[in-house]
Amino acid sequence: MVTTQPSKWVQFLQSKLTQPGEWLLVQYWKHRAPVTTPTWVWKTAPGDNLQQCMNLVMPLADKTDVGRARAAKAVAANVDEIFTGLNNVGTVHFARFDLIGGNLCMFSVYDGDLENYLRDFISVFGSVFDALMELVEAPPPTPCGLHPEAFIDWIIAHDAFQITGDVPSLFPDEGNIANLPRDVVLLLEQHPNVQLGRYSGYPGKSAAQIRLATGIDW
Amino acid sequence: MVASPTDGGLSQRLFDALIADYPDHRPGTRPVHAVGIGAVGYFVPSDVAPRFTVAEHFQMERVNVTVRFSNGSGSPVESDAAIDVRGMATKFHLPSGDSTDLVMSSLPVFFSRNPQDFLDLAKAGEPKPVKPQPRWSRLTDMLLLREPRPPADPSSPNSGTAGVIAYANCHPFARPAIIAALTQPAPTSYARATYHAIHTFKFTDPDGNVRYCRFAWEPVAGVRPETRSGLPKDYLHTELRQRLMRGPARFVLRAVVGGQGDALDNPTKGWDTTRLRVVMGELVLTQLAPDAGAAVEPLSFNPTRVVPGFDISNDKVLVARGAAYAYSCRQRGGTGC
Ligand code: HEM
Repeated sequence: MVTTQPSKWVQFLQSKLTQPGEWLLVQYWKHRAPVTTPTWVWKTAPGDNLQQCMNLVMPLADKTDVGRARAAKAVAANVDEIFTGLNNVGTVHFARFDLIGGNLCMFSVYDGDLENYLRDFISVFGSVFDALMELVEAPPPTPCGLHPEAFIDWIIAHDAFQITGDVPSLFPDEGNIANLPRDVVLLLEQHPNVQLGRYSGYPGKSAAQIRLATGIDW
Repeated sequence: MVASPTDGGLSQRLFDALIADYPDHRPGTRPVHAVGIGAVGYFVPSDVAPRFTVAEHFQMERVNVTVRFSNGSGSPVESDAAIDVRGMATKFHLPSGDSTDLVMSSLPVFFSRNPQDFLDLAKAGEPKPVKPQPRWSRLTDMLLLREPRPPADPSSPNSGTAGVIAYANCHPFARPAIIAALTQPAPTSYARATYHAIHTFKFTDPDGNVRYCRFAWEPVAGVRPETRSGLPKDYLHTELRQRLMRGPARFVLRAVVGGQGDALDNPTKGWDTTRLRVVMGELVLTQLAPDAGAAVEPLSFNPTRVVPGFDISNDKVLVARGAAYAYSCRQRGGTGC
């Protein structure tokens, strides 16, 4: 393949048009050619509601190491409650808490509908979340057991946007495929946290089927 | 059994449309995937495969195969490093003397929902004189937050790329495949790319249950796109020859079982990654086909050459391919058409 070097002045401009320039371009294009976030369509095949991902990114109110340590302690103090709760929910393939920068994150893979999963959360270890909500930025009203709808809305708002399927189909109204890279930039501008892809070693199987097949469940 | 060639002249139109896209087509060669290389070996079905299909080649301990790897272009000039689709056609030699084929490419989805779409795209992709890129294009692309355009190939004053892009702009269903075809880099080896059958096929299991499946050959050595430049024009052929002298090249045949709501007859639509995936067996390629030019180049591979237990779906593109490949094989004086 033939590759030509950009001319000197293009190289110069490129080096100068770094972050501030890109930021300006993004601000301009988001008004000039806004993109709409694709809505997630609930499908009906049996595999569609299996092994769903939740990527909850909760910004801590105190992002210093002291604040992060407080969050770590709050999770550690509730390990038994979390494990027993997740065992009782029964539809969870894995779940884990991570501290990533100034965020407390909960990543999990579960079967079924997100709202049902969250309602199960509230009933089996809602008190853990009540404790965690004291540490995060702009928390929902607590206790979550008394405000389940507000809690669910808050979680959904903090769940990373998931890109499923191919990128062109995210922008069906785009009339020029040369603009798709810009559409992606503008989508990311709307969503700081994004799940880009996923892999499963045993797709199409529920947690219950795996437990049954491996003989480790009730 | 391949699909019936009585198709009211459609095969001829499809064939002619492909020839029009490659003005340097050489009679006696394939209209697309013109440059290829043959290899032989065997396929070992997995233990679970017979649970999903009664097709003969999944019941045996092992079955001999002939494989033809190819570059997608219809030009007879070999250009292994070019951005292009790669092909992998496999013939399973059954004990009865019959055979069954899997014809796959490195594209995960296709650009056409039916033969008419294909004819329209082929027309749009007929080579036309390339307009020079404006001097300011790099700057405008940067300001428009677009990817920089790839430089035009100075060796060919004509290209179909602009027409194909214009087609994609008006036909959203074709975009995933067109973007993949225009950007997919060459692999480091024919044995280091994944190949997809794209269409849906039907498996019948021993109880008579029918499952809709899609297939892929996945390289055991892993997928590796080529990043080096300045490679010889025939590096993929040389690499395969050297690789097979060192030891066999292996692929795993994976089936994905479709679910409710999946596009069964539309090859432009991919399936979700949540679908059940089943290992159907392993392909072991042991050597280049002896006398490859004479034995493999004329050979017909046809995606509708199937056996009971492994049937074609109603995908209109797949059905049309059956007759078009047989027609093309006869046109080029091929064998086993
Ligand atoms: C309407 C759609 C299509 C048409 C009209 C078409 C047409 C053809 C023709 C005429 C040939 C040459 C056959 C011969 O002379 O033996 C060919 C070869 C080939 N095609 Fe297609 N094709 C279509 C779709 C596809 C798709 C969807 C795939 C990938 C799954 C594909 C992969 C290949 C490969 C790998 C070869 C080379 C086979 C070999 O090595 O013998 N084609 N195609």
